[in-house]
Amino acid sequence: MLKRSGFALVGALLLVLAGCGGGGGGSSGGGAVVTPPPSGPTWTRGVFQSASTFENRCAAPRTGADSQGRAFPDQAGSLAQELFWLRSWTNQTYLWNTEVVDQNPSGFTDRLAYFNVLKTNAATASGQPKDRFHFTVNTAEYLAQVTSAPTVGYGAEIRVFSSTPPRDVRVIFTTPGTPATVLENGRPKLERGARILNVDGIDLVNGGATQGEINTLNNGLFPIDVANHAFVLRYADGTERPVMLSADALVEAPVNRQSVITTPTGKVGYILLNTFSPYSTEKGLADAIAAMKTQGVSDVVLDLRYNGGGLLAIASQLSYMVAGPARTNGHVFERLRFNAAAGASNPVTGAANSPTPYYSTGVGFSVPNGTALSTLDLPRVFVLSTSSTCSASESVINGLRGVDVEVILIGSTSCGKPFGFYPEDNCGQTYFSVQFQGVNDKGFGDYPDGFTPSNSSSANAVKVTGCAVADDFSHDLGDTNEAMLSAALGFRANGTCPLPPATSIGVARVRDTGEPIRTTGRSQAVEILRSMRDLSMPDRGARP
Amino acid sequence: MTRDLLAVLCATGLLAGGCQSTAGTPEPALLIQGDGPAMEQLMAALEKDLGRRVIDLGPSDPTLSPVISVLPVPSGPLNDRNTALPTVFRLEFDGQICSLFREETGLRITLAGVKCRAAFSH
Repeated sequence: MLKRSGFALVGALLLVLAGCGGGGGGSSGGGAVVTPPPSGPTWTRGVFQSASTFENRCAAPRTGADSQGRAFPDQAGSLAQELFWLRSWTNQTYLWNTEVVDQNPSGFTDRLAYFNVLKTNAATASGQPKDRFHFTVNTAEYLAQVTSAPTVGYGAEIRVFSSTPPRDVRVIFTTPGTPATVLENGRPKLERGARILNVDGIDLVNGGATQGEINTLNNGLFPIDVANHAFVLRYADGTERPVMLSADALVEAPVNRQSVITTPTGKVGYILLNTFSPYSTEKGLADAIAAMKTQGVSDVVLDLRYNGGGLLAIASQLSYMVAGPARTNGHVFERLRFNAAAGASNPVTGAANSPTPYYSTGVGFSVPNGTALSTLDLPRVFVLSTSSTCSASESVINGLRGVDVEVILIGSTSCGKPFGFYPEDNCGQTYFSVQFQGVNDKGFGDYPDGFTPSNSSSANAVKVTGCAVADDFSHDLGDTNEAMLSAALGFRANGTCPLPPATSIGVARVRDTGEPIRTTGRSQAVEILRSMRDLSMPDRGARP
Repeated sequence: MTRDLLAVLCATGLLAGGCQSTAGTPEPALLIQGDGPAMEQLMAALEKDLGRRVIDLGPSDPTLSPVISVLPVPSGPLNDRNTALPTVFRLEFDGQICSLFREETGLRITLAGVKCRAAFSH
């Protein structure tokens, strides 16, 4: 069971069909009601014992071992001890620990409810909560989704734009070499922008009247088993056709696609990178940049519009490979800023708070440690962004700006997450509490309302030279006619943004108020985090 | 006879009498065999040092490179600003004993019975 605090779920991203009963693992005792024993810890406002005093003292201790073969450290304890652990751990490690109102745990009978109040209630300049990233997930569910094993799917990202009838579910991108891109009559089965009209005989747009139909839709859209499913699609050009899709066990591709675009003023590299998480990303990016160097690109476009972040070291390597040694030597990619009480230490690990450098070599994820990385040595970089561009992706933008590489931002406002956390398990619940802020070489990291192109109407985001452009679902990613890439190339050629102005083609920020309905194969945890970031939808009027 | 061959012979004990000059000076080393008992012992040492029962090695081949990286436990997409790095060990050989050196902690783990050879010729 996953819970979150602060604000309601964004239904547009959670296609849990009404009445399907929810899902995602059972509670691990989060709702257990236990009266703290009289002999338990006592609360004195502002006085905190070390979290280690209460660590792994559980109301319902686990037995056995975790996925790494480590025995669970749980010992018999009480709910009170779990709550006092949360309180002390927050005081020690939470970034805004001085803004947390110290509440007596004895007033709570649920560890998740108590966790939810252990955060700041302040707001950013835009008025949104300062801490939008405070959440927790059952540890068993968390461990189940951190595996690097293949997962069943078609090789396509499917997103829900309308979760209530008439539903609008579309393909956002496909991964080359997967069932999604198998040709049928000379055309890939799935294409970006294609709207899914029917799944296994059930009308996705207006159907789903019974639980059985709902289950059929969910099973087809987000299969968990290797199987065939029948779809009816309407492609971006208006063509409709049925296709049979084979769900298969797939490993996420680190670099979705790359190309070199020849222009009258030189070659431009294009990289679509949707995550920094898989370890294979290190090699994928190293190979991509090496190839671009060989081909002599004079500019590069990083398409991070759907990149929610991941490994900071790989974000650093990418930045290094773009900027080169001359611009990065003697500088850091990102420093971690913890709460004031932490001093020079990392309060989570206890180690010295060492910055992330610009890694100039492989670090050993998939490129051998010490192997020199190729560099493009560019003074500027084009970054394509949307509200899904988050965290480590924003580190690339901020890190490069920190060494005076010009970042030209094309698209819409990034998610605004200069923060990070170390997931922490205690008694079967894994807690995500913001513990650090990443700042660049200039000490800047204040972008809680995101980065936004300079001509956008966003009032509180950090303005970055570039063009506000709506995501264009009518063209494939990497297609030079796709609006965001086209705008990047146009800005590169003549320094101007496309017409009509961004105000008329800007991304509408919409919160779906419909019943949250599941339409993704990801765990609830992943969807919750994504929903915290991504509130955008395409301009409804522009869609077929 | 090349120095590499000499190192192999030293490691395997075939020239034990002529290998004393490098003893006590650990140098980057390579495993002579990358499978079987040597690899099992290497993995066991890593498991013990890292307190994990699942060890995934990075891209290096210990028969070709003295640098061994152990991948961190996968963290998944929820950790979107993940500071994790592989743990790096260096395989070393002092002319008699093969060991793993973890630069991060300065800890040296002896790989008793594992055969290795110096990685570089003098």
